[in-house]
Amino acid sequence: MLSKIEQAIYSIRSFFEGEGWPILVTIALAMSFLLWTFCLIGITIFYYRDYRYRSYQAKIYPVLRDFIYEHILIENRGSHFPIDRLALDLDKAIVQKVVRNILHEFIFTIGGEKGKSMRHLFNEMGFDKEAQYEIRHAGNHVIATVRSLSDLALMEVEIQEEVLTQLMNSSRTEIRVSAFKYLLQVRGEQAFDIVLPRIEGINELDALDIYQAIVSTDYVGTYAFSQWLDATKSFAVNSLIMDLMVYYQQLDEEKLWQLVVSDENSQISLKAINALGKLLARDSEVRLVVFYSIERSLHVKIEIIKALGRLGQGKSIDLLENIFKDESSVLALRKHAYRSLVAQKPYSIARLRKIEDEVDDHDYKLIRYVNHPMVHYI
Amino acid sequence: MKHFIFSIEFVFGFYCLLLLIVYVMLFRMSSISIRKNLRKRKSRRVQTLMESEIAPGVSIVAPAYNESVTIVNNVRSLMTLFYPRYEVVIVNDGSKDDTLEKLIKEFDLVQVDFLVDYLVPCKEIKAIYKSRDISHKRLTIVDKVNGGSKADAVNAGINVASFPYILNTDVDCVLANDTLVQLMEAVLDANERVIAVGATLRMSNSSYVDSGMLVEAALPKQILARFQEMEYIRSYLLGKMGWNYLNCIPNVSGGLGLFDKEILISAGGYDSHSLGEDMEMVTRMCMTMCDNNQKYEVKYIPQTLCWTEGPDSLKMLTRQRIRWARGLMQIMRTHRKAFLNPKYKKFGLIVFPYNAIFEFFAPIMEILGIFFYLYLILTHGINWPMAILLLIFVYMFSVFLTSFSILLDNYVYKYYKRRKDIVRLCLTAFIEPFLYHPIIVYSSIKGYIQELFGKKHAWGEMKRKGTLSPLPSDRIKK
Amino acid sequence: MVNDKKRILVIEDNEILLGTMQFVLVREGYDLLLAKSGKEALSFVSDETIDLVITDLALPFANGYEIIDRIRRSNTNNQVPVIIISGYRDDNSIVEGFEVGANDYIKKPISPSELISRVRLRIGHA
Repeated sequence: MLSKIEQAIYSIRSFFEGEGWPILVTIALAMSFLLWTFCLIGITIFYYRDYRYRSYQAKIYPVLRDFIYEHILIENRGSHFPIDRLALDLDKAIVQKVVRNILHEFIFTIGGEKGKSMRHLFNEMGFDKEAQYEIRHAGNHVIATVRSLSDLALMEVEIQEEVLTQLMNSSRTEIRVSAFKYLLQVRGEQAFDIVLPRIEGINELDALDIYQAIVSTDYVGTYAFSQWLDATKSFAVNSLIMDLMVYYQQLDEEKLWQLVVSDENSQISLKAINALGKLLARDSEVRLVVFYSIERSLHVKIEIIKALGRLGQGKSIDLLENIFKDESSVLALRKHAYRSLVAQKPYSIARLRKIEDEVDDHDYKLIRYVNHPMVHYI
Repeated sequence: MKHFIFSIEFVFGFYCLLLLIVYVMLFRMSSISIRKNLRKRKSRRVQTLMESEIAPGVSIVAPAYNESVTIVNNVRSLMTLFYPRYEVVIVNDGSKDDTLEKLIKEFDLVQVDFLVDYLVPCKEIKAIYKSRDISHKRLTIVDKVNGGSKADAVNAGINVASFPYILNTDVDCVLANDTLVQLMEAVLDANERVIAVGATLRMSNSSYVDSGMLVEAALPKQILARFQEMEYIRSYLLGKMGWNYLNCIPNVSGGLGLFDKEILISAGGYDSHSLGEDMEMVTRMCMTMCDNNQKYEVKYIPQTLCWTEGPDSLKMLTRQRIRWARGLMQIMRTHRKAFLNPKYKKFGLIVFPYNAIFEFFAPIMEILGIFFYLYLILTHGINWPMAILLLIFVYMFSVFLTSFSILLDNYVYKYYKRRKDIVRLCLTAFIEPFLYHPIIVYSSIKGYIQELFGKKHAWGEMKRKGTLSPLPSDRIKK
Repeated sequence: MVNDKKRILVIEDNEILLGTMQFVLVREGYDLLLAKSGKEALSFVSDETIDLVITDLALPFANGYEIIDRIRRSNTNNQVPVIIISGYRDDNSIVEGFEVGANDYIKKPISPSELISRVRLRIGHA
C-alpha cells in the first residue's frame, strides 16, 4: 500500500521535475494570452456594433418618422404606402433591425386607427415574409421564431395551420407561449379552446404574458374560463385562469371550492379563496365561515377574512367580531377582521358601534390604524 | 524534509488547480446564463409586466441613519421607480441629525396611530409617519430606536411592509428606473419558488447623479473606486452569473436584493449581530428552505440596476473589507453544520464548501503561499525559471478573466458612453493584481484575526423558526 | 406680442410618443411646452401660464402623481385641466390619478384622434 502511494508520488514528482510541466504551463500561458486578445477583440466588436446601430438609427429615424407623419398622420393613409420613397435598403440586416425597432416603438405607443395603419406599414415593408420564413424553420433559432411570431401577431397576418400546430407542440416553452400569444392576439376568442388546454408547463411570467394578451384584445364575451381549473395542474395555470375569471367577473363557485379544499398546492387554495372574494361569491359566505374553523394555516385564515370583507353580507359578522375581540389571536388576523367588518358596513354598523364603545385604549389604536385614511395597505 | 516540502507544494498545487478549474467552469457557465438572460429579454417586451394589473406588489425597504444631506432626493428617486404596485418604507434608524425632520417637512408627513407585529426581531418602533399628499401615499416612514445595525433597521421595515416581496436597498444607492420590473420579471420567470434575486452593482463615484437619479454612468476617476468597479463587474458577471447557472448563488448583496417576504420572516429576519448580514440572511433562507424540503431558486440578473458610492479612501476601504471578512468568518462558524451536509443539497454540497474553501480560505492560502515562497527563496530550493513562468501564467490568467468579465458586461449593455472609459478599465486589469489585490488580502486577514482574537460579538441569539408559515409573534408595542 | 394660442404642457419621456403628440397638437394649432422629466415639468408649472397639461405617470425625477399634486397646489396653474397618458392599466393607478386631481386618463397606446378630441373637450379649439 505504502509503496504504491510512494510510487504515485514519485511519478507526480517526476512529471513536475521533467519536461512536461513547463510545456504545459507555457501552453496554458499562451492560451490565456490568446483568450485575452479575443476578449479585447470582442469588446471592440461590441462597441463597433453599438456605434453602427446608433449611426444607422440616427439616419433612419428622421426619415421614417417624417414618412409616418406625412402619410399616416396627415394623409390618413391606411395601406399602399409609397415605401420606395423611403429609399431604405431593407435587405441589409442592420437596416431591417433599426426599422423594426423604430416601428415597434411607434406601434406600441400609438394606437387606434393610426396604430392600425402603422401595423399595415410594418407589413408592407416586407417584414411578414421574413417572419413567415423564420417560423417555418423554427428548429434552428428560438429568438428569431419568438420575435417573428410576435411580429406576425402585430401585423395580424395568418399563419398556416400546420405550422401553428407544430409551433404549439414545440419542446421549447418560449416558442409554445409565443404561439399562444399569437393565436390570442390574432384570433381572439376562437383561440381560447385551442390555447387554454395546452398551457401546462408555463411559468408565472408566461402566465402573465398570456393574461395580458387576452385582456388587451377587445373580447368581452362569456367564455367559461373556469372549465380549465384543475387542482392537479400547476399554480401558474390555475392562477392565470383565476385572474381571467376575476377580470371578466365570471363566478364559478363549485370549481373554485374544489381548488380551495384540494390539498395539492396551498398557493392554489389561497388564490382560490382570494378569487371567491373578488368575484363576490355571496353564497360562499357561510361556507367560508365553516372552513375558517377547520383550517389551521395562518395564511389561509387571513385570506378567508379578507374574502369575507369583500363578499360578506352580514352572515359572517359574528365570526369577524369574535376574531377581533379575541385578544390572544394574531394581530394580522385582528386587523383584517376589523377591516372586513368595516367593509360589510350596512350589516355591521351596530357591531362596529358596540366595539367602539367597549374597546380599550390599545384596541382603539388598532381601530384607528385600520380606519386611518392615509394607511392604504395593512 | 524534502518529502515535507513536496507535500506542501502538493497541497498548494492542488488548491490552485481546483481554483483554476472553478474559474474555467465559471467562465463557461456565466457566458451561458448571461446569454440565456439576454435571449429572454430580446424576445419579450419588458413593459408587459409594468403594464399589468396583476403584477405582484413590492415593498421597498431602505434604512437611513444620519442621511440628512441626501435623504430627500434619495427618497424622491425611490418614489419614481416604474412599477404599478409598490410602496416605499424608509426606516429612520434613530438618526442623530435632522433626517426625520427633513422628511416630515418635504413630504408633509403626519404621525399615524399604528400597531405592528414584531414578526422579525427589531428595536422598538417609535412612530410611523404617512404623507398628507395623496401623491405620496406609497410612502411610509418608520421612526425607530437605533439598533446599531442595518439588519435591525431592515427588520423594522419588514415588520411594517405590506406586500409579499421586499426590495432591500440603501437610501444612498441610486437605482435604475426599471429596477422593480427587471427583478420581478426574474422572480416570475422561474420554475421554482424564487426566494431572492439580485442584480449587478456599480460605483456611482464619478457618475453624473442629479437629485438622486442617475443621468450618465461613468468609470470612477479615483483609482480605488475604479478598482472596486472592476472587482464588482468581475464578481457579478463572472461569479454570480456563473453560479446562477447552477442555482448556487452564495449571496445577494445588501445594496440591492429582492426577497420573498414569507421566507425572510420564516427564516427569522436579518441577524443584527452579523457583520455580513446580507450573506447571512441568504444562507439562512436557503437552509430554511432545505429544512422544510422545499425547492427554491436564488437568482441573479446581469443588468446593472444599482449604483452605490464606494469607499474612496484606503482607510474606509480596509474598514469595509475587514467587516466583510469578519462577516464571512461568522457565517462559516455559525452555519458550519451545512458544510458537506447532504441534507442541504446544493447549498450544503456546493455553495457552502465553495465559500469555505475558496472565499474564506483564499486569503489565508495566499499569505501562506507567500511565506512558503520566501522560505524556498531563502533555502535556495526554488526553480526560478519555472516559478517565474508560473507567475506570469497566473497573472495573465487573471487579466484574461477580468477582461472577459468586461466583455460580458459589454455584451449585456454598454454602460459607459465614453470610449475612453472602457480602455481605461481594460488597462486597470493589469495593475489590479499588484495594487488592489494585496489590500483586499491584507484586510481579509486582518478581519479574520480580529474576529478570532478581537472584540467578541454576541453569538447566541440566532433566532430560527422551523416552519414556513410561522405564527407571527403577538407582541405588540405601543 | 400677444399670444392667444392655447398652451399645452406635454410631459413624456418616450421620445417617439412625445414627438408624435407634438406633431399632432401643433398641427391642431396649439402652442406646446415639452418636458422629458418631472424636473423640467415642475419648472414650467411654476413659471409659465398653461391651459392644459398632458402627462405620463412613469417619469424620472418626479412621477406624474406628484406633478399633478404640485400643479393643484401651485399659485398660477392650479385650475388647469390635466390628462394622464399612461401604460399603467390597473384600477389602482387610475384611481390614484383621479384622486390627485387629474381630469382624464388615457391608457397607452394612445390614438391621436382620441387625444385631440379629449383635448378639445377640455380647452376647446386652439
